[in-house]
Amino acid sequence: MELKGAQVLFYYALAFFVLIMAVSLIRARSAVHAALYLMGTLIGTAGLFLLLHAEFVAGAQILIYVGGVVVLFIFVIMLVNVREEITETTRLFTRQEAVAWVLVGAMTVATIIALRREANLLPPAVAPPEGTALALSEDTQRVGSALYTRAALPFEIASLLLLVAIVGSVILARTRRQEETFD
Amino acid sequence: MELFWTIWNHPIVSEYVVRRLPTIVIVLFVILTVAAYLVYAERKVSAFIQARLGPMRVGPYGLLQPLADALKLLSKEDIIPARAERSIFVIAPMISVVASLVVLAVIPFGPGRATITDVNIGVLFILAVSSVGVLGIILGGWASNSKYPLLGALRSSAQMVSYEVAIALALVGPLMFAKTLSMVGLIEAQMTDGVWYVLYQPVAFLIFLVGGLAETNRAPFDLPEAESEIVAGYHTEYSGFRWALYFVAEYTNIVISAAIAATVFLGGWHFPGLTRLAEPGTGLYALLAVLIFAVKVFAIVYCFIWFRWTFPRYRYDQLMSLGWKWLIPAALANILVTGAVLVLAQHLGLVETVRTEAGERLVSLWPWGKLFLIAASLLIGVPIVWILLAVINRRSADFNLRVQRQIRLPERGEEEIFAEV
Amino acid sequence: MHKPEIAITRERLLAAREMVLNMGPQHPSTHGVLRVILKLDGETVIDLDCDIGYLHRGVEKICENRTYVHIEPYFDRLDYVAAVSNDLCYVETVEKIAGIEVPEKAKYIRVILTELQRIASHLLWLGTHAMDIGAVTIFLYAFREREEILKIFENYFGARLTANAFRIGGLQYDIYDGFEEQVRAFCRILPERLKEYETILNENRIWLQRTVGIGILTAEEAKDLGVTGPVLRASGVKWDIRKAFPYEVYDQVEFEIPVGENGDTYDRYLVRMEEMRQSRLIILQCLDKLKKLHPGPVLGKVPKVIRPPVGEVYHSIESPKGELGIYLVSNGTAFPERLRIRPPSLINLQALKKMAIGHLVADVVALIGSIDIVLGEVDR
Repeated sequence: MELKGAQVLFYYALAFFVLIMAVSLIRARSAVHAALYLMGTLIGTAGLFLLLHAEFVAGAQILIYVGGVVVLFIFVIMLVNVREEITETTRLFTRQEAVAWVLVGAMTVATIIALRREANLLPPAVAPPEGTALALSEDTQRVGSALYTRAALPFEIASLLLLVAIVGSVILARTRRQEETFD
Repeated sequence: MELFWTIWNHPIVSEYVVRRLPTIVIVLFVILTVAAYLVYAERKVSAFIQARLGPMRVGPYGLLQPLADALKLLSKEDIIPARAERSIFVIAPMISVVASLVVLAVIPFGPGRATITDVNIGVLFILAVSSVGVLGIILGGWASNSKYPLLGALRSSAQMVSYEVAIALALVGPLMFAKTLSMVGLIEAQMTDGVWYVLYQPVAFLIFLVGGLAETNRAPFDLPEAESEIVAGYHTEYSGFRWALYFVAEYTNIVISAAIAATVFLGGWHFPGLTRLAEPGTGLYALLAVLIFAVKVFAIVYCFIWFRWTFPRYRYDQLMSLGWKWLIPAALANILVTGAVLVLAQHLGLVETVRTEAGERLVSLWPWGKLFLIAASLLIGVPIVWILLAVINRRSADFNLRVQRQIRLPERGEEEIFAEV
Repeated sequence: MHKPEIAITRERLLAAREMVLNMGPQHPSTHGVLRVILKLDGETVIDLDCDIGYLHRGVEKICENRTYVHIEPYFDRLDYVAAVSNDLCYVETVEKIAGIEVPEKAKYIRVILTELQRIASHLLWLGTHAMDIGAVTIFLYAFREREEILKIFENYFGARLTANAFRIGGLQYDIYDGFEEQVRAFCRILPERLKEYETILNENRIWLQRTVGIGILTAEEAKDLGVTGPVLRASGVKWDIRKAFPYEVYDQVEFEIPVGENGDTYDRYLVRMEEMRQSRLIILQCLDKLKKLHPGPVLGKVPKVIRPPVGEVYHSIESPKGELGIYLVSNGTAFPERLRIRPPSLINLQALKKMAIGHLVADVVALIGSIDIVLGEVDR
């Protein structure tokens, strides 16, 4: 899609922010720091969603990913107390370094060539024209009606999957005493 | 210098930064003062409830007490525990405060320039940013490098996350009428309809109030930070100004919860008959609107303070079961019932979708539409939610407390025993 | 020296979830310097032990080196919340062993003051118990009522907390002018204030959830442990020393003993609330009877130096906390041979372990408040 004017500035700022956060995330020595960099990455991604006129997804991204998933990660990190990792000095760069650089370089070149081919360009992200049957005033309503009409089946499958995950984790985490009480 | 003026006059910057700057400054200044004076108000209100006087020494009636507290906190030594992680210790209160203050950007204090901005996804934005504030609490507990503050922080944040679900579901009810997530749109919808959504959605209002109490860690849900409990709270290791930041965040959250309740359920800055007092668009109109909003917000905040000093405290497991087994099913049932009622109303021709300049709004027709919706919420919604909660919880201990314990005392009137009182 | 022990179960070797938590001597909710060591599985208490002795002052030993008259102020400091009833127990014990007669009027005044002290002690219990569970306002309200009683005490005794005017053989002072009006005024406001507390707490679902079914002590367990006082009565046993072995003039006034049914925290709360009402009835009856005896002597015939005959006596009264007993051995001199105090709070504290196991940590705080202990009495 074509970005106009100040949007270009925002795009580059957000893109660099996301990349820097992602690299720091990988390089972080402490698990808690890594979780915080993950939060930064996700917030930057939410900003990119805003540039794509997808406000609902941006808001949901922060609400669920940052407010839920990152909180969950931090819970686990703190309860399992992964603190011991910091005291060891881990070698981040080992002898496989050269191979890694070569592979990364090759993949980057391939991606850039592929993206510049006309056939692979994505259509511009633009709102559906007014006046059609599905013309709804806001992105939220578009997402909502899509979820319940065209994407209903994946939505229901995903919610079923989450239900199984919740029930399964509760059952797996029961203590022996709780099993005896409730069975 | 030239560069500065180019940026200043750039259309986007001038629209979104320069024009909003006065409002931003005023809102920040006012809200921070309000948060500080909210502490004073709490002390005074609690004192009057408890037959005491409260702060009286600093300034007339103790009105300068927050100033004295702020000066004291600023001048305290900045203590950072030796083995705590310094960077996280410093960042944690900042995350809390920033999350609280960012939300203020979308709260409609009044029409026109009195609101900083309006986003399409106002309610979602508020929920999202508030949930980031939970991280500040967890990190604060972690940074204390001690088992008990950490456990307290984790419990506190688990409580906040659970009640966030309840709050979000409770807010869906009014959204079905307003057909928009934007805060200004909600006020406009209530204006077009002429009825505050609290009359259409009493269940959702109650759920939101209770959830708001739990979300801000206020009594009766303040076990994680109560002094008489063994597990110390997340702010144990914080002193001086960092602790003050946490408290500013907490009281700002209280104001925000009240502001959301006032906007979504009580009609925000609008009051029927406001247009008769002043012309829309004038300064007087905006001033009156801001005053009305302030009155509504402070009424709800007063209720929050009142509840804190009246009720005992819930135990943690009772608190979580209240959130998951009572509030969330009630909120879900509320959504279903509201949807069914709206479909029924559309069939009967009692509601219509009106197109205003900002979007679509659902408006009920006068008089039967309004009466139908209000009656339906009370006569259909409340019993269905009640029955659902009773069925779900019929075997739980907290439901069967209606058994009254009576003390065995043989019947004898007091008058027979003594001569005079 | 008491070494606290907690049971080591086989589970400890297998499950790493058990944690020992120390509710230290300094804690806002232990009502004094009490150290409770909890063994927790997650949040459930699986074992509990109390470490006491932080307030031990060697009172019993000190008393062996003081004359009978000098011993009395030490008793104020035992259960410092209810000083007057401690004094009553002591002077009655000495009167019993020395065979000293107390004039009728003094007995009535003693009973009035002791029942006022009972109400004051229960009000303090109510305030602190409610505050521990979270209803902070009740604390301030209860102290507002207690303030009225303390004003009466200040006018009569000269002191508010460690009030001391009981003498062996009667009282030091006669009632002052205005005593009756002040006490009647207090009795007039008490029922409506109690009603106020009950409105806030009795039907409040949060209060019910925090107290109903918490810390159930059956009547059998209570009797086996030797628990006395409101804790015993809430468990269903109708036992009150004032009715069983009446002392002073308790056999000449009519009052009821509230008995609970289930022995949980809620019943203990209801029993103490009702006891306050019954105390008020006792006070009013005594005031009526006092009017007929006034004026009269308040001090009986007491020798200059009290040298009880050789022997031993055990005398107990119903203090607000339970059965406060004194076992006095006299060897014929002016100093007692041995003075052993049966502290109701210490013996009631034993029930804490039975009541708390199986409950959550947050309930332990409610239970300590519900037993109503005073460390001055526990440690002496």
